[in-house]
This record gives sequence, structure tokens and C-alpha cells, in this order.
Amino acid sequence: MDCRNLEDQYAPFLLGALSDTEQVLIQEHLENGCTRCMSGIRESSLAVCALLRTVRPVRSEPGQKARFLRRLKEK
Amino acid sequence: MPDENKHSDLFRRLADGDLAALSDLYDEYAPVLRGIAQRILPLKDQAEEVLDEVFDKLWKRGNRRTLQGASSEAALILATRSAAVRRLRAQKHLSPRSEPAAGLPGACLPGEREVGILASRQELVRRVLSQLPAPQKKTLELVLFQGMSEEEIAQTLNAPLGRVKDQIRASLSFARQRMHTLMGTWTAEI
Repeated sequence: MDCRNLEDQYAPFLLGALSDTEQVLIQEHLENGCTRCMSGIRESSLAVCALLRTVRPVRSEPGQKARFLRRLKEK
Repeated sequence: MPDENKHSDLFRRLADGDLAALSDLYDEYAPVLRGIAQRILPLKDQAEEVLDEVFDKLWKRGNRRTLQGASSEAALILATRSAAVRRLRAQKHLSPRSEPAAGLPGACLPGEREVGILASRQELVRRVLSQLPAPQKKTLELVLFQGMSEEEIAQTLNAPLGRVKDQIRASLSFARQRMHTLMGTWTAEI
């Protein structure tokens, strides 16, 4: 795969927005260890995280954490 | 900015099976993750289930990713979005999508310091988003918070696929370039 023009596909790939064929091609390319693309994916994942983080935080409902930890202990 | 040493210590304790460390991490990250889950899913209970799923996996997985130098916060944010989108799509009877962001190796995730810098500049990031033209913003929101593919967005908006692809790539490229600028300055003229 010639990855020189993939730069603008990294973020859509991360978000699963590409066609199934494109998703698989990029996934396989990354699994082959392309350092250039891994670096691009890293930069894009930072941008995606930053966009997601623009959502305002929401406080827990009272007791939510306690219920979660209790369920975890019971497993 | 998050305290990197404090986080490292919490994840070390987590890897040792210290439930108190998980409790502290929950306090630290749950509000951000809940916000994202609630933005994607219509009901609060569903968002809570996603949060439980994400922290349950974190507990079982320990700190494997942190050991690779990646940001655990970034991994949690991406995992939360993926889990919420998966549920949303299932509710809408849509086929599951590939979600590579949820299982990225540490080498493909940003570092603690980068994520910490961006976290401290949220208002600037929001300003970046507000600068996007309305059609680009719309398609970006459908990708980010509805988990839709380019083809699905084209069908939903009754728009040519090529135009939708261009809008998504332009908005994400714009965001990536602006984040790059943001990382390099404290007083970015965004």
C-alpha cells in the first residue's frame, strides 16, 4: 500500500467512518508496522480525543461509584 | 494539567490489584467519560452502563498500555466513545462498525503530557470547533457522536458521497492541524 496520501484518512479510520474495505486495508497496513502511519495515527488520535473532550463533564449520580465497586467485588 | 506522577502511581497500584486505586481513577476520569457517553446515548442509564463497562475492562486489563508510555486518559476516552457508539448502533439495528480506536497499541496513542496540555486548553479547542463551517460541523458530529460511516451520512443527508467524504476529511484535518498549533503555544491565536 502506498501510504503517502493517507494523512487525511487517519482520523476517519480511527472513528470507523471509512468503507469496510478501506478500514481493513489501513488496519492491515498498520499491522505491518509502518512507522510513518503509526505516527500519523498517533497525531490523529490526539485530535480525536481533544474533540471528544470538548463535551462538558457530567458528575456521577449519587452512589454510582459505590454500586460499581460493589458489583466488581462480587464477581 | 494532570499530575503525571500521580497517574503513574495510580496505574501501578491498579496493576497490583488495588481497588482503592481504581476508585481514585473513577473519581478522576468518570465525569469526562460520562459526559461523552451521555452525548452519544439518549438515556442516562445507558451511559452509566458504558462507564461500568469501561472501568470494568480497565480493572481487568491493569496498566498494560500505561507501561508503553501512552496516555491512559486517551485510551479511556476512545474506549468510551467506541462502547457508546456500539450500543447506539445496536439500538438502531445498524451493523457494528470497525472501531480501531478502542484497541490502539500504545505507540498509536498520544502521551500523558500531550493530553494534559490539551485538557488544560479546552476552551481553545472548543473555539477551534466553533470555527468549522456548519456543514463540516454537522458531518463531524454525525461521525463522532452518532458513529456513522461516510456512506451512512451521505444517505442520511441525501448528499453525494464524495462531498461528505471531503467534508469529514476537511474538518478532521483542520482539527488535527489546529491541535498541532495548540500544542506549541500557550496563547494560540485560534
